[in-house]
Amino acid sequence: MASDPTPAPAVRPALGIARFFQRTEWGLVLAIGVVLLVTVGLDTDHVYWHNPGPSVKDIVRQTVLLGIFALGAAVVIIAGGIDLSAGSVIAFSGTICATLLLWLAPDAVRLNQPLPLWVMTVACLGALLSGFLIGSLHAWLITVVGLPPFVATLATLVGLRSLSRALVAYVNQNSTQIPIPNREFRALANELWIPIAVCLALLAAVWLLMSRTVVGRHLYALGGNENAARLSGVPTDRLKWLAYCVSAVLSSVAGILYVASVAVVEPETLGKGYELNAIAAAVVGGCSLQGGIGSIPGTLLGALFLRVVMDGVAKIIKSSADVYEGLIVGVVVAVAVAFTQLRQAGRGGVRFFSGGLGLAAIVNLSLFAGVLLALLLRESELGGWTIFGSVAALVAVLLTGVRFAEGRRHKQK
Amino acid sequence: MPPVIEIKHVTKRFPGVVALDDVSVDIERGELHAVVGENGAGKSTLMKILSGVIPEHEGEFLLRGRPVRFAGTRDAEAVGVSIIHQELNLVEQLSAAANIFLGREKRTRLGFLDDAAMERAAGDLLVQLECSVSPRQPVRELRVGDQQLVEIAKALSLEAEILIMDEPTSALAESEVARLFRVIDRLRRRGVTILYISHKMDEVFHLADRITVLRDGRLIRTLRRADTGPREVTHLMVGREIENVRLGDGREPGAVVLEVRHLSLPWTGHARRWRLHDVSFSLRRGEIVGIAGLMGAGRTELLECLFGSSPEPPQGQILLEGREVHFTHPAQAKRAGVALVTEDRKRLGLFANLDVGENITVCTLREAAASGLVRWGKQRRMAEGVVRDLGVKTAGIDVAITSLSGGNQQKAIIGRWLLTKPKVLLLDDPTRGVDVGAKAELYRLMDRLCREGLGVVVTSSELPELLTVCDRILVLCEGRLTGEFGRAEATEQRIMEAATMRS
Amino acid sequence: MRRFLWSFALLTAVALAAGLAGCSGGGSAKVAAGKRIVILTNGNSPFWDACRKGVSEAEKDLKLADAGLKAELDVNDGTPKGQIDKLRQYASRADVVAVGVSALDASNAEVADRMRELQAKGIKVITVDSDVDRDQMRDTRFAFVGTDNLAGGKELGKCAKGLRPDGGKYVTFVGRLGAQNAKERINGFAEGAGSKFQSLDSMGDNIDLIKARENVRNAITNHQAKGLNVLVGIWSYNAPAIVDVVKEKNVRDKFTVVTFDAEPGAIDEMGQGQIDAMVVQNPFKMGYDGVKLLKALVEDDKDTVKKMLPEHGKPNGDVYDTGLKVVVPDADTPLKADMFDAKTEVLKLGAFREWLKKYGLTGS
Repeated sequence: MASDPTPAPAVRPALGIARFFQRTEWGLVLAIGVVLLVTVGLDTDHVYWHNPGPSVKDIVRQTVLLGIFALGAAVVIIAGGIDLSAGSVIAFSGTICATLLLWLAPDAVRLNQPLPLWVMTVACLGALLSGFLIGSLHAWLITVVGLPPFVATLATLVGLRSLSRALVAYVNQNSTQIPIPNREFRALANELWIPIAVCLALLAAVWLLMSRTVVGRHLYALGGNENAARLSGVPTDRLKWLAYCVSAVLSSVAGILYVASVAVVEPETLGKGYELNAIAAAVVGGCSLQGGIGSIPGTLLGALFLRVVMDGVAKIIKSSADVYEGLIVGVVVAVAVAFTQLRQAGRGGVRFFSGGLGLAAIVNLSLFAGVLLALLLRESELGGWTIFGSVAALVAVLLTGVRFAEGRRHKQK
Repeated sequence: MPPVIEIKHVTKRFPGVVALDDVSVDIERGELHAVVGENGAGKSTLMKILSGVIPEHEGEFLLRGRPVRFAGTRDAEAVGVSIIHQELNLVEQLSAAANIFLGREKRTRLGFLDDAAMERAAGDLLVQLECSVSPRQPVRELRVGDQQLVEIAKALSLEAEILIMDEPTSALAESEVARLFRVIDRLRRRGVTILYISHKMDEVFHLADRITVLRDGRLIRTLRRADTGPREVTHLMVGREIENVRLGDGREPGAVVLEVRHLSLPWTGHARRWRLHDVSFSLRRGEIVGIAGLMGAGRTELLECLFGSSPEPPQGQILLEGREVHFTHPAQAKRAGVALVTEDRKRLGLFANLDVGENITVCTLREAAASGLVRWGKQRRMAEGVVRDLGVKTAGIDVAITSLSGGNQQKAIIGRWLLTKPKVLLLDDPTRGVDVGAKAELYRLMDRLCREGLGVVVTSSELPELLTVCDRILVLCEGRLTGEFGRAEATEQRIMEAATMRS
Repeated sequence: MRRFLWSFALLTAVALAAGLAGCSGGGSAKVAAGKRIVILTNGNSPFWDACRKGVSEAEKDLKLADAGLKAELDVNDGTPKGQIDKLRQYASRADVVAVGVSALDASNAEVADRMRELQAKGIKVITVDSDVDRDQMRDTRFAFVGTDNLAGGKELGKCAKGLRPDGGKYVTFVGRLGAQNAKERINGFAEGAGSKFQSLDSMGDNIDLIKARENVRNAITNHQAKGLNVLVGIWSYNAPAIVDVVKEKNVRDKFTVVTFDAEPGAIDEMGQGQIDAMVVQNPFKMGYDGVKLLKALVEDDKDTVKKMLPEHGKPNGDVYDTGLKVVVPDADTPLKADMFDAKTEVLKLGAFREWLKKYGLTGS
């Protein structure tokens, strides 16, 4: 009885080097490499090979802008919350920034004259302050009023965009936009090193915060088990305040840079739907929406991965690539997260296509593959229906085969 | 020497209940003071007040002669009082070291986390506790017993002088219990005062210097261990004498209803490879088969295989009334006449948001429905039938299920499954968290169901319980069947030997 | 773990290869060596369908394939960022040799910079349909192919004047108030209608068709009491929006409805007497001549360029007018050809339908 209990379970815990190499980040680096290679191969002009400069610049520009507020989304997700408001915070902080520019230097903005540095500084600080206030509002709604994070940030998602439009209409004579043509301001985004430096600085700061400081450790604890964190004397409400502020302020930083990059504030369209890109980047980068798990560099890699896929699609499809962008990003996100899930759950013997739902999945995937290829090959001599029919049939036969194989394997056990 | 803690006339009211009613106790420095009582007696409430988890209460308590009032756990920790909760309060995603120092992290001179220092310190603490896990391992990868030790290490890292342990053995295997007792001994030698909450008499009499009995929120009496015995304490807890139950005489097992042949359950990605390996047995009508084994031996997994809810599909054959079955979902098992009452009632059994009647009829609602609409009258009659038949003590079928005591909740869940008219009833540790009086009632209920022709498989972490109710006892060790004893041959000694028989 | 990484890599590769092999394989058979002429729209509306017809007609007519060229219409999502991102994407690709842009905002400095960047890379750039700010950004494109929107607005204003000689009060409905063509049309309308007409409001809807109807509803509710009697549709989809609300409120007799462009729906409505006059541009010709001009520029075909833009280099010599039509109902109308500019074609609805049929169009 007194003998040591079952030395039993557990895969020897992978520690040190081994654990380092099994992180999601390596999978992402590999995946990014694969996407680049595939693009080089399938792009008939092979621009990545012959003239990579502009593409690299474009991908980097898009990645750092997305990355900045995806970092914020990751912090909130790790802390066990969710921030749906990023897109609207981008629009709102952009609006604040432009409004301040217009108020402080109306002639410079309207007539495209040189913009004084202090005006730009004040405008940017104003935008950041607005982010801080929005983050505080979120924290108040969540910790004091007791709204679920989903509802609180959904409310600001809808509300702030509307407020921004009203504000623009008010300050710019009922117009729907405020053009900011000034070269000095646009340089914030056009001098590519500025957004890169901002993004890297923020990455370093947030990484340090989350991995090396007490506050970061507490954010992970908060997301993992809020009760345990509270009973351990962790100030959970203050941490939530911090998390939502980080998210909103980073969104404001992105807002300023987005405005600089399009030279106009148009609240109706600025940043619309970006919150989902940020959440997708965080999730692809290894954050768990259940909280407590996630990686900051992984999130930036997730953003890079998404942008590389989007750019690759544009390079390969060429005409009207953006039509397919959402489709492919959706598939990629689902596949990437499914991989992580399957790996964590270690479910070796899953039967994907058994039963009624499995049958429906076969029908779904066959139709999907058929439609996709028929659309993509619409210029070929074969008719759309021929392609659709043959591809769908082929996939259906293949998957039905898988279904039977799975059944057989199951029986053998 | 004055007592280290004086609790004076403490009363705590929750809406509608008086959880503690004018309780006064003195705790001596360096003693191990057991607090016992049935579920709902107020033990946990008292401890939560002492540790600052519940800051609001009437009355006062004095620490080392001075009155104190804690606004939170931090205040309590600051003066050397810490608590180990019954439900483990750990952040599963973080490492053992990070959990131990959560809220009081060590920092480097620059203000960053000093993980190396924390891991060293955590390693030292864990070694003291005979715990061999790495401080860098995430807590979710640890076994429950080791998680418990991480909690204790957390309390030790505070250098607590007063340690409150709330039913620390409820999730431990017996060998782990032994290890815990050694740790407790060592703490006492260091002069730590321990408040030990339990309702297990053997533990209490093994460890305690003095015993305080609570019942219905009132202090019944504080006794020296030397002056009393388990019988008296049990009597004080329950408020009446417990008759010695003798069950199972004259039961006549009938035809074989369930047969298991070479059942194995793989364990993907695990060093042991099998959760269950080559288990074979049979169950007759009117028979109760008990399954004994340590924590992690595979008791729950075996029942899950029979119910189609195992984490991976099992291999081997399961025959129900001679026909081979392959359940991949509990719905199939339910249709075929197999019922499982799960081990973790709160998490896997109760619907806390539904009332008693709804909890009872949730599995068989379809029978109360006509053309897709539930007929409330019929549902009512079904639920009331169960309540009457099983003697569930409740104010009615439309009160919250959470207002019932553990034993009555368990009866309601058993009733839920009896409505499905099962041939085989699987009970996974049905008396866990049920107080002494109610246990006996559950035993009698099992006996009755068995005599009505049901085949029953029951697991338990308490051997005497199995010896009381079972016709046969199977013993599992590391997923293998290592013993089978009839009623006449089964003794605690022989079962323990089989349960620790390693390959 | 390693196995996971490799299978991940493999699956990604297979998925992408399978998904995309087809399109580049099938599509590139013709395109492989192909360079592209792209017409980039500002947003999405049936107007661009007629333009697309013109683009593909030009592709066939002018035998672009023989010259190793391909022409296509790229539809923007209606946001400035969308247009900027697409222009950046063209710059990073090797196959785009000429771009015709319908500028979403005439004075967006970033769009202008992107167009300059394309030119610096040797890509030919013109504007179609909607030009950039001609005072400050003329250098961003070689020429403008489209309608003189100021003239178009004037003609619409003259329609209003002809229909209500005593004058009136009007509201203009448009997608984006900031668009150059919108500004010009609205200014033109005021000029053409004359001093007896007074503008009560200009309402933008950001190309949201539901919002467009709401704007009309609000305008009627808020301004009818102030004497509102002329509803002016500035962008193509504003016409059906106005007609829908006028029908819904049953106030046809109180309002004069004049609109720009001829969406299929608007043509039917005029047939049923719901619209009094339409000023119609020629998106088909914009697409056709846009591609024609860009092809000539790419091939350095000076003759064709000279023929299309004989005055290039002189003030406003870089504007290629694709012409205007005024369409009036078949029934009796006070609008006569001599009220309008000599270059403007005035058509009865029936004759206009004939013209559409000839080119296989459903709208213009």
